[in-house]
Amino acid sequence: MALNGKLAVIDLSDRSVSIKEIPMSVRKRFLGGRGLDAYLLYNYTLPGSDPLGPSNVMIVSCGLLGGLLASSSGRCHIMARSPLTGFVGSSNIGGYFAPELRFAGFDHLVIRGRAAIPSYLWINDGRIEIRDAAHLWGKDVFETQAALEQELTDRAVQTLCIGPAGEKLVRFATVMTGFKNAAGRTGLGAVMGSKNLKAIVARGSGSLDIAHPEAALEYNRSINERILATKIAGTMQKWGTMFIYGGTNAIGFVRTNNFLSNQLEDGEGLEAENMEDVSVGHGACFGCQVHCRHRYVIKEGAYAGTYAEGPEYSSQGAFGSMVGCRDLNTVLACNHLVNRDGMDTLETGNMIAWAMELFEKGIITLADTDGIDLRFGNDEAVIEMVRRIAGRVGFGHILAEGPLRAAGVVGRGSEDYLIQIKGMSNLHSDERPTPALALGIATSSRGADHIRSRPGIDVYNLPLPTLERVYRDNPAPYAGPLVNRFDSYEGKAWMVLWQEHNYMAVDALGVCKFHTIFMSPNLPSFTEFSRMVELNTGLCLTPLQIWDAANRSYTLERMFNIREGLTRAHDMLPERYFTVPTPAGLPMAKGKSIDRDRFEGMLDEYYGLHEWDASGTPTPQLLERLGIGWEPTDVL
Amino acid sequence: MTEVLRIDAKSCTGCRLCEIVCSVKKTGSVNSARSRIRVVRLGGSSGYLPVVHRRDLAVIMAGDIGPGRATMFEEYRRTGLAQCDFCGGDPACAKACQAHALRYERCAQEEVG
Ligand code: SF4
Ligand code: SF4
Repeated sequence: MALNGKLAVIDLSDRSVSIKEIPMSVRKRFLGGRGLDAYLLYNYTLPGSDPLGPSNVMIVSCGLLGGLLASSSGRCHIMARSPLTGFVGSSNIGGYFAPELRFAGFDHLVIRGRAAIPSYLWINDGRIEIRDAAHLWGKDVFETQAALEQELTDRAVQTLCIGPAGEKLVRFATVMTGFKNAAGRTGLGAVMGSKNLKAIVARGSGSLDIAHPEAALEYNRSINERILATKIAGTMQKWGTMFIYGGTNAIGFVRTNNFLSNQLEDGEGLEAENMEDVSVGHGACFGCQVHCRHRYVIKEGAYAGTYAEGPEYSSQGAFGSMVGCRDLNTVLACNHLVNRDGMDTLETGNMIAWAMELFEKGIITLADTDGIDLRFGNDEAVIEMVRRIAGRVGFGHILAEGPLRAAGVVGRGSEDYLIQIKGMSNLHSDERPTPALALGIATSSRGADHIRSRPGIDVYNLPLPTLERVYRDNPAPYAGPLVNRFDSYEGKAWMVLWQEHNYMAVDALGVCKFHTIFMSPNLPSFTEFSRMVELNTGLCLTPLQIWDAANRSYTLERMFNIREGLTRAHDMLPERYFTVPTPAGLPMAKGKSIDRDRFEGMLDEYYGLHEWDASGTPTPQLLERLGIGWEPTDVL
Repeated sequence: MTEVLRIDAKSCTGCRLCEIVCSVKKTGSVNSARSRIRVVRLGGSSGYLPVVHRRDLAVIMAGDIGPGRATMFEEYRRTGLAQCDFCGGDPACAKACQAHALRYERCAQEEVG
């Protein structure tokens, strides 16, 4: 069957590899991907493990549906204790690596210790070798992958690797595969770098037997048809996530000049349509018909002629609105640089935007920035700062430490200007007009984040029957209110919780968030997941059992965070969300701030729905019911 | 007249769904090596190339590692035609490909060569 993939525990310090079965009982409880990773992280780390020390583990996985007929089954998940936040480090990555890992016989890798010399893992049809990577150290992401294909004389190997930023332990370094697929958030590339691990290469010829092949083919075809019939998918096929910017900026949902505005005036240059001039086609992850990835060649500037992939909506913010730049060429160049060197686009843009606000306010000066004029809108300065962060050069060395540590070094009250939660910076979205989205970023297990719990469809003010269909008893019972106004505080705690479970299920199954209820209410969720699992693997899990598995894993992420010192105070918005109203945008977005009391009320409600106590700690009854009261264990 | 798979490599997104469905239909399992169609990543702006014939695939896979095979790709991309009758006139790959990179159509025997 498709679920024969093993768990490999690889100790880079003593160069040992032990291979274990994954019991079906564990799969049923945690599925796979991020779900089972949460279980492994909790069990394979001791409290307080140094994120950049040998005792941290880096877990790499494919989802339960990885490589199978599931509309998009190429997503790979990586988990560790985050060197950026100290809490759960977790990031999902597209491309083709996860299926190849599974074809090679493995579903989960737990990598611990630290290699004495730069190394890479060669995973080939059930065998795992730790190989010398001295010749790869210093190479960028693209060079590394090309060199490994040459070395292994196989065009079809799939590689996860770090670039120079990961080697230099930039605290928001990424793990990359291909040109643009990034495990972007929480600094997992630095964890990999700290282990002296340059790359993981997979190649497999194993077969994944489908439980009901004819029915699975037919079901996948019908799901694809349904996905492609949504407006969102059709738009994504042409413009990728960049299409979001036009609408959100027009309304006033786009964080601009760090946090000084919520709308980039004269920002048409960043709109997705401008990609037409540079695009050479689209790319997709394994099995996906949405193909949201742009493939482009830079036309102007220092990087003219360079081939690159992306950018996403996040980069339009990171190197556009947040830093006050209106030139798409800057976005394209910086997107290329962060992918090449292996850094998180959002954290990089946020650090520069923060420094720019400090600079404009006179809190830092040319003496701090090594003479770089960090005024908003200085395109050259932004590109230069990206390079300096990746290389940890001068002021870039300070920014490479991430928001809280950088503010610690700069001092002078600079912390107040960070737009971060739990030590991770936010997307360039401005959630002051949207309480549900604000609650989502405040409570996300990995820090300020838009793809862990965001009820994206809330901003459409959908008809109530649509909200009822999505959020009521689907599949978990809910008797509270549902309100179809995005400025309301009512019923939003449940929406956030529902999305949390949905995204956890998606990440545990190894499918894509753009194929589920995120930006459209008409995409698959628990009912369809249950059918996909059954047809592909033969495993009968009801929608409610998948919901429960997601809840179990999300609760373990919470438990991990609490073990590392998380309190209710960490589930909090940056102060300016409460005190400074939005200055721009349409009437629905202008003059808005978050009401502190109502936000606290939403937080109470959210904890209550989770069966967490008022401090945000899961109750013993919940742990008992989910069967995780006895964690940690060493079952695996 | 004869039936052919017309391959428009420029539209190929490299998703490999054609490989997946072909192997599942033939063998009941996902295994690219057992798929009649294989998608080769050419790299950079050259994109992807769906390849049907195993003989060509072997040449392309080997050739792509080193220099000197550009003509082979170009030829393939230019003609973009392949014959595969394993699906009995209802090719799973073409049906699955929503990027319009694969179309099953009739053409003159001379065009196939
Ligand atoms: S929608 Fe985009 S990110 Fe998702 S699987 Fe498809 S190509 Fe990858
Ligand atoms: S299904 Fe179509 S787009 Fe996808 S790899 Fe095959 S030919 Fe290319």
